Amino acid sequence: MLTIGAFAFTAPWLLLVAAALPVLWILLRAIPPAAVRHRFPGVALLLGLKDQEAETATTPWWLLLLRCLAVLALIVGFAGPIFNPAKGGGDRGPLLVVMDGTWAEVPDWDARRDQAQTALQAAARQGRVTAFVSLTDPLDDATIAFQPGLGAATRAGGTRPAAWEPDYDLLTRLPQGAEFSTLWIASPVAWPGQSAAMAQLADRGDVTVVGHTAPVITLGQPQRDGGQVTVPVQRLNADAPATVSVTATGTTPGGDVQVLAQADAVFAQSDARTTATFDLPAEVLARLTRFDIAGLRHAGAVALTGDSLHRQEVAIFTGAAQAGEGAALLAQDHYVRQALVEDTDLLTGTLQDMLQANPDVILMTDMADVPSPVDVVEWVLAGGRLVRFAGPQLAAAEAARSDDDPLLPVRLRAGGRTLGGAMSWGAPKRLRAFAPGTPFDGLTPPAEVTITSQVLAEPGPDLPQAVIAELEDGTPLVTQADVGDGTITLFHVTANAQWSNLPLSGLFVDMMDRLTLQSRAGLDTLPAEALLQVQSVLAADGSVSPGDDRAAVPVAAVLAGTTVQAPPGIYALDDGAVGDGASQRGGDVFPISPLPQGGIAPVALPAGVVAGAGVDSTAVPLMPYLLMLALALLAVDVVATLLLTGRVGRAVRAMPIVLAAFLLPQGGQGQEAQVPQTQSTDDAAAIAFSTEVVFAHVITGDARVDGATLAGLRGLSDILFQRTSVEPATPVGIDLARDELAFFPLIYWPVTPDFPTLSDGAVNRLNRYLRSGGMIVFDTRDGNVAGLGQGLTPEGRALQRIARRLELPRLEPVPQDHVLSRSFYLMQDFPGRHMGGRVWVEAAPNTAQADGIGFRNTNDGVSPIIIGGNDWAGAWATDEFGAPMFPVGRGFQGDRQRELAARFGVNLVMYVLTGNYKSDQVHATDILERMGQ
Amino acid sequence: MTDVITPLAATAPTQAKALSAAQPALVVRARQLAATLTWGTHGRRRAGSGETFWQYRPAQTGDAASAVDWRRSGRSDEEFIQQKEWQVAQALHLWVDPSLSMTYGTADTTKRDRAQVLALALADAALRAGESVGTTGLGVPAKPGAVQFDKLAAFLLADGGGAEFAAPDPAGLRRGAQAVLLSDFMGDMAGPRAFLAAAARRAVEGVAIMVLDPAELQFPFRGRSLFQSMGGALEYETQKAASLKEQYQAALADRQEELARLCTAAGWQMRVHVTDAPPRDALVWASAMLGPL
Repeated sequence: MLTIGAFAFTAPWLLLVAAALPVLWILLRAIPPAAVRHRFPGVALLLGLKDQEAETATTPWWLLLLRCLAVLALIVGFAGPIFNPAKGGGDRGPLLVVMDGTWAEVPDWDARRDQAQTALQAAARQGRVTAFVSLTDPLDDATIAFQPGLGAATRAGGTRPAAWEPDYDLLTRLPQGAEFSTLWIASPVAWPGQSAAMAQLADRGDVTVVGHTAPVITLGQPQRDGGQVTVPVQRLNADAPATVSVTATGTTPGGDVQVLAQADAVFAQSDARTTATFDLPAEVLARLTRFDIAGLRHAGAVALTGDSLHRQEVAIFTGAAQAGEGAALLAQDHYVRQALVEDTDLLTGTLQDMLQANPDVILMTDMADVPSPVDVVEWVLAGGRLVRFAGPQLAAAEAARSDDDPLLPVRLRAGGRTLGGAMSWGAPKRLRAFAPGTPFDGLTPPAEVTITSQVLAEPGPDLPQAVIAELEDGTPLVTQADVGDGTITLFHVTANAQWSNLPLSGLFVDMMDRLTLQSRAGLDTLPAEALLQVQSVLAADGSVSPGDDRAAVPVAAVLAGTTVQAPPGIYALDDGAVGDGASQRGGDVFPISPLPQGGIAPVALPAGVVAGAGVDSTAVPLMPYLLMLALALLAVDVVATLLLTGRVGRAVRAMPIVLAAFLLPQGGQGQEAQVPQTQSTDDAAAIAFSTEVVFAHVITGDARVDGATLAGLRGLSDILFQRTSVEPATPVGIDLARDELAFFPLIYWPVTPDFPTLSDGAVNRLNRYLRSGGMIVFDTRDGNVAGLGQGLTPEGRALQRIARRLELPRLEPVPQDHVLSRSFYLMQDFPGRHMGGRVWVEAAPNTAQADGIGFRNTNDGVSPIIIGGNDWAGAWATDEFGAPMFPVGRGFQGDRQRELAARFGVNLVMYVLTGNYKSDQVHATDILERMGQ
Repeated sequence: MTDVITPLAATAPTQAKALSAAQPALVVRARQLAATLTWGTHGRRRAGSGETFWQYRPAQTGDAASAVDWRRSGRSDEEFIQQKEWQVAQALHLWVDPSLSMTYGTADTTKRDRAQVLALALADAALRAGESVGTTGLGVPAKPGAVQFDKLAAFLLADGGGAEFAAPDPAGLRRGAQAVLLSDFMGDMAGPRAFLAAAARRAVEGVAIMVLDPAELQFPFRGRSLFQSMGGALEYETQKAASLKEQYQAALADRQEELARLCTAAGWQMRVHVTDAPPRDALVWASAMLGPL
């Protein structure tokens, strides 16, 4: 590679050709211009004449210059000029390009990749052997070989960032003892082992590190504190004051994922850390799934919440209902409830119900005998946390003393003790400071908290380990035992203020918090070999995909740092209940952050490593530009030559043809026939459908049937237009799977045998439509629906299949006095193309027992469905000239039948639009008579 | 003017169609030009077929009863016959060079258009003066009458047939008639020479008008050029056209001189007409040269 100033050439020898340009100049000059053709009658006189001198060198100098420039641009272009060529990686010897390949490089990934590629390409063209390693790319080969050619550059061009930690052990696969230069395009975030790996490479040759000073902003794990969520925001390699916007995304109650809240995190000058605080209602918090830094798309700018923001579920069980109406302040669970109501979801109910709800914590107030203790023990063994309080009942219980009660952490002594009362010697005791290692470590017992009564633990060798809080005389106050995966905790006092004033103090609230929060097991508390199921995977660009098909990962692997097998994302204990949030305890879901476990820190370069400039994203290969320039110059040359030789006229004449060739295909686009039958759900269509009376038919997928039905509705619309004041707009076809039905007063449904099974959404929509006053006319078109219910025809069976899923009322054949038979015309038969088939409508309600279905009430007495098989649409159908499309009957009889079909259509629409108005009209004479009096 | 078109369209639809664009304009121009000429009638001072009254003479045996002038005869006992002055028609033969060479035109008209206008204008004037007008060769025999103009127009305006150069055909020349040749005389001079010889033998006198385009006089070409005859049959390539100008103009002068010599020998008159000059000069000159017919 030849470098001249800011330019470099990948094939500099080609520039030598430019020396030949003067020769070209002379050659171009020497070639005479093409002869101009003249039509000239005087040629007869010329025939004998002789030329005196040859015409040469008439090519104008500027045309020559133009051509030479074009050739020069070609030569320079093919010499592969690069503006601001990438630097680093030495000049000779093998070249290794290393990329960390982490999410922290995503913002300028393209520039990094291009730099790697450019460096490798340049080295390969110089004949150097090259190798490329992306440390997050799992490498199949046992060794990384240096190879000639563009293989490494090609691999660099295809490399992608990953969300997990780079694997510096990959570098041990480099050939031993070889010397090579290294260009390390480094992540701006320091990873464990990075610095050491750089130092090792520095022993083998020059190491240039670039890109490690790029600015990065990351989100830490959100912390919940009451109703507030605090998200730590940290940045590297940036000093200026800045404000980043953090968005909280979650699922809406409707199931959509959207941004639910937004907060700003403000960095002051030279701040590296700040926080974004969200103050949200608990139910919103519980729905949050992730936090993002707005505008950044890399994994570090995403914090997945998992279940960490879910409220703990605490079940409070008070045993038998209190006898009589005890004052609320004496209730056993009052103080516990008050302490927990802020931060947890409280469950109450029978113990069985609560166990099924699988809460995080079960609190039991004073209770001698726990109902169904076996179930409770199983729940505890499975990781449940049981907190019990003592009291008179427990103190009196025989079982607590006689043998080991499985639901007590310690054995209790009979009775208990009372201090500071009128009949006792001692004064009420205070609490001793909490020992380190206990759940209450860090809390300070206030001096005013005193204990007057308590139950006593039976001394034993195990007792000291079980005590997590004690009185100043060493008497255990709170004991705890691990049972299986869960724990059992016992307060040796009551949960109300009967035995102590502990429940009245602020300390009690803190202790409750500790006990309930502590039930969130950390990942490190799990056994190392426990398997975690990958619930979702965080990609380097911050997107989250489900991890369904991934193998379960042992806890140890996750703790050791993220890898290909254990990518960042959300993990859950592999207990068979993954993904079912209701039965999943919060402690079992673990969001794994893509950040390094020690937090993010800037890259520290070891000695011997050269820091290059930032990622050199300005390397611009100039070849395409120069070739384009050459092409443009040659095009100008063509035009100029045409002008000079006087042929521009012909060229100009040809231009329209050329232009037309370019333009015609474009003109042909966008002319695809609009399918007139489909209804789009956009607003314009909705407005159009709701401002006019529009009939619709169901698109069955059978083009012939759909066409005939649409034509039928068109014909019916025309008939209505002519005969009545109903002036319908053009009917439309609707797709049940997609379209909104509510706009249409009448939906005509030609039943086809192969109609696809309705989706749940379509069924719901149809039912809603029927309930809210719509009408569907089913037409089996087989003329044989007398056997409705027997499924005699394929259409009949299809109708059964459809109707089974709809909420349909009881049906009956149209009774003689039905409004349908007189809503406009008086008629008793309802023929279409077929005659005599029975037509079914909703059965008239037995007025004595108007049932709850409510069709008749809500729909003004209009039957929500009409079922027939007479192929009315076929009889109505007219082509665009208004002529009938299908034959009906024969001769005059047929005309009469078609007229009756039309009348049925009119009656049908009148029935739909006016409801029972006509049946009221029956009484008009009576009403008038009465008014006359 | 449409009466010119109609018989043509009826007899030769395709031809008429091809010419329909150019013909009316040309014919109109020709008639306008002809209107500027006053070509006096010239009676023969004796009785004969004619339009104007000459004398009454007593009817003799053998005269047709229809020839009797009953108005005059009614005033006497004899029958008289009215005789008209004999008006004989002089024949005028026109030749417009139909070759492709004549279709050249760098000014706003081609040589051929100009030649056609001149020929038709002469024809119109002559016909109105009662002469017989026809073409050289066997195309349209010389006849008098207004209808003759339409025939001439149809013949002269017809497509030339595609020859590079053409020569007039002496066949059908009437003795003592007059002739007009309109051509650029760029082709072989043997043709005109033979025609003029034949004309001289039949005592036919006339004028030759050499119709030239301005470009043919000035030769405004430069640079490397390939000259082609209008049909493309002849080609001449030069490296430097400008240097040929003087040689060409000399050759053209030779040609004009040769034509003038031939004309003088045959008793004809010759004139060069350039298409950027108004056609009237040439027309007046030609009518003057043809003299009282």
